[in-house]
Amino acid sequence: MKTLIIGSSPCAVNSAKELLESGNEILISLNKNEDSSAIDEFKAAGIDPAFILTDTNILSCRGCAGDFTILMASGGKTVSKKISGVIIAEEYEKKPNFAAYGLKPAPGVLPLSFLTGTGIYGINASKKIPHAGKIAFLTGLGYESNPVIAEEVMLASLKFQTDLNLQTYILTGNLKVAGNGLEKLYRETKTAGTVYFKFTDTSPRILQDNEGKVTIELVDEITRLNFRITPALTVVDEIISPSAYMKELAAVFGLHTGADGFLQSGNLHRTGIYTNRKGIFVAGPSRSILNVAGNITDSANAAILTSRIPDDNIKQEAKAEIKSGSCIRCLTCYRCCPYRAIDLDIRPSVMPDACEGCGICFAECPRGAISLNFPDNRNVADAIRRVSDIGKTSPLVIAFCCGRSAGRAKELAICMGYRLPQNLKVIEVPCSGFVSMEYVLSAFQNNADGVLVLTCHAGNCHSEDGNIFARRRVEQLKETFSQMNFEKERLEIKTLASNMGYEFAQITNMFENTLKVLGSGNLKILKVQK
Amino acid sequence: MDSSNVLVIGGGIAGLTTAHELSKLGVKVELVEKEPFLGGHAIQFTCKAIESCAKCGACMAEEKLNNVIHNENIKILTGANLNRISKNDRFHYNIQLNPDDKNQSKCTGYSSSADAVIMATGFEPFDPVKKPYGYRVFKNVITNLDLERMLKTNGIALKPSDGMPPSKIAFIQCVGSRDSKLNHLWCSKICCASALRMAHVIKSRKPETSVTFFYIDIQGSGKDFEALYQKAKEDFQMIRAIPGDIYKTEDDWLKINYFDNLSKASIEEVYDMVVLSVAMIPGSKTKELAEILGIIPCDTGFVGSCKNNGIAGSGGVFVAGTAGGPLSIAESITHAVKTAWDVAKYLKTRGR
Repeated sequence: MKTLIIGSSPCAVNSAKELLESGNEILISLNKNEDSSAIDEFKAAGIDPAFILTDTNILSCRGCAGDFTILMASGGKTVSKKISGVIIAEEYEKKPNFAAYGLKPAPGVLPLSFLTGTGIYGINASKKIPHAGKIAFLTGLGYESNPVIAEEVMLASLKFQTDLNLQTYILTGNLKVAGNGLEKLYRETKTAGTVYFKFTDTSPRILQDNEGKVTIELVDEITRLNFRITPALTVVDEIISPSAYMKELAAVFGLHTGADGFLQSGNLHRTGIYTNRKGIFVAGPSRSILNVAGNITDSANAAILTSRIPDDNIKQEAKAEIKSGSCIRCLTCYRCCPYRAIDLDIRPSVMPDACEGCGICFAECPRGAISLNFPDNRNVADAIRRVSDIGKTSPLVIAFCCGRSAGRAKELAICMGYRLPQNLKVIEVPCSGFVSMEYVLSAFQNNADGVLVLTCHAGNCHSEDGNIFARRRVEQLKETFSQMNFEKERLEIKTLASNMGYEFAQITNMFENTLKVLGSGNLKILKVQK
Repeated sequence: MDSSNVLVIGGGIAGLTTAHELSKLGVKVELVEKEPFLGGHAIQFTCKAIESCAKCGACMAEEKLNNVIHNENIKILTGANLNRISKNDRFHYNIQLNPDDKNQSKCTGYSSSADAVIMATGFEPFDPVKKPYGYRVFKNVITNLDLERMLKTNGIALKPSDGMPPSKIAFIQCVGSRDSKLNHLWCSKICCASALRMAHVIKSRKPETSVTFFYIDIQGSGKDFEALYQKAKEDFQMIRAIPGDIYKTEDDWLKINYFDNLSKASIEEVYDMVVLSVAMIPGSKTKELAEILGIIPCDTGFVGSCKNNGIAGSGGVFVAGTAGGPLSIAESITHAVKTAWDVAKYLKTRGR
């Protein structure tokens, strides 16, 4: 069992340390951009540099948790390594926010990391830092900052106030104190003499002359008085963003990224350090902006999860299987699998340890070459066939429910005693992405008056896009229905979360009412418009 | 670690997560919860999605709950109070099991022992009766937690006075947080984003509802926050002031007084419902329990280490989740996983 750790961030170093100390094998991969100081970080933590591959790029990753084969370009050579799990803990990038504040770098205009890197502890020694005059910090103006930057700003201002006795000003929008100890730190800076200007309906005018000297004109929104500050030093905050290498890694490993570019999609099923791929974890600065404690927490998460591979490979899930003979290698399955569980060898095959049984490939395969085998031998086609409408007095509703959301919501609705439609037949599926057009049509063939497809909310599908596949199919069918002169209102797709018992009852009852108005429907009877 | 056994105190998100993680390592866990149900505060929270997931994490509670029930390594005791605990190499404790509703038998006692103890006792919501906002005096002044439960059971906001939807709601943030008079020098971290999301849900279902926010600094950052906040600025009236007090008008509306910086004047405005975003404060029994277990709370009263949000488990006592300080649902989960790792390492050093 060997874990590959990518990056030299404190989170990467601590993950390596935790794993080694608990008797696990590790390999560390550092990108060509990393200098010797990165190796020193590992050495300082007592990690033998023999574990480190420098000047290394990841080229490809095949296989599944417990059995990855990773190809790397290392120092001009291509090497292949057998790896059980991967921790990506690459450092993010910080870019000074000069342009946003209309400033250019100058002797009296410095980025925040100049102070927080080596600067903050060497304030007295540093020649770049003035020892007289006023200090202005510009942070979170015109955009929403975060507690990590807020803490750095407040610590630096406290240092100037207390060690050098210089007047500091913090100009900000919303001061982000949602971190442990930050409200207290805020009070300390105020007691020490830091002046805060918070802007809501006005903005400061920031001017810079040809020599780089800064003048700030502003309105104090509390007193509505005008102020003019000419700071000896203006400190500009930084925008944190994913590095270019992180983006490369996302492509190589097939990871879903978030709107902010970090290596997690924001999907709640990845809460913590999980990604869409089993055995590949994204920790610390590669997933979010975290403080010191948060990074340590992530490294412990990384250590526990990688050291437990492959025990965590879930065995009780349904598994997809590609029938040889029917497959024409169109690679639809490879493209739509959210878990990268399709191995492309001479013929595509499903890696059972990577498959999470969502069934998207089953529903999307144009050749019908894929089956989904349930551990309990469940058969959805049979379940649809068995639905009986004999003696019904109210509309027959067949609801395909995602087992992770709508299925749970149904249980909750029953548990809370809500009234549900009399002839509601729920067919639980592993993911709404499994609900093929054939299943929907066969529900109608088996005399359903209406069919509901109940999915997770957009952005919360465990299989990332299963709900989008389901929606696309439903919309296509509705279109076909209207052309056939069959009421398209008999087919609906709705979103639910597992804790929405009330809404489950509301949606199903409203649908039943729609069907009552429409009356009985039968897809098998041709309605010719005359 | 087959023979080892761990006591988890508290069955909220953190307790459930840490118990599940330890069970996967083969550790036997006893989980004690004082309430008759598991899931803590989070299980009562409402989903805040409007077609798209709002990333509030409320549904995570259901998932964590399902992980621990029917788990052969986890023994769950709900409606149970820890009576006595002492340490003599291992921890020895006594639990009082309260009779449930169906079975009106007497309280029964139960004794056991453990190698390590995890305090996952969570937070308590600040009781806003201490503030001049008329909570428990005016029916239509409710807390953010009341609103969570209301939305979960009814789907929409309803005024407690008459069961009708409110037309004009005010949210007051930082009630009991960031408050030097109370010596509550902390931000409760979650209330801005969760109140904004609830307000969006209310407005999406009843677009004619008017919403006003009173705040100090809007907290929240990360992936989806910027869009959430931008929409709030478009849809709600955002007022950077904390109201002084609330009165009731003759026609049963709520009159809020606040100081407007722009006009430098005191302004009165009426609303028919007010939501107080109350602070997360240390549990009332946290201090007592911490002392028995030999750990020192921070000056905030939470039991996290005062700089980092997790304390090393010297002597076999560990903390998971919001017992250590305010955390979001997602943060509670990662914190609890870390605690499980720390406990596993500790058990190893004891050769168990």
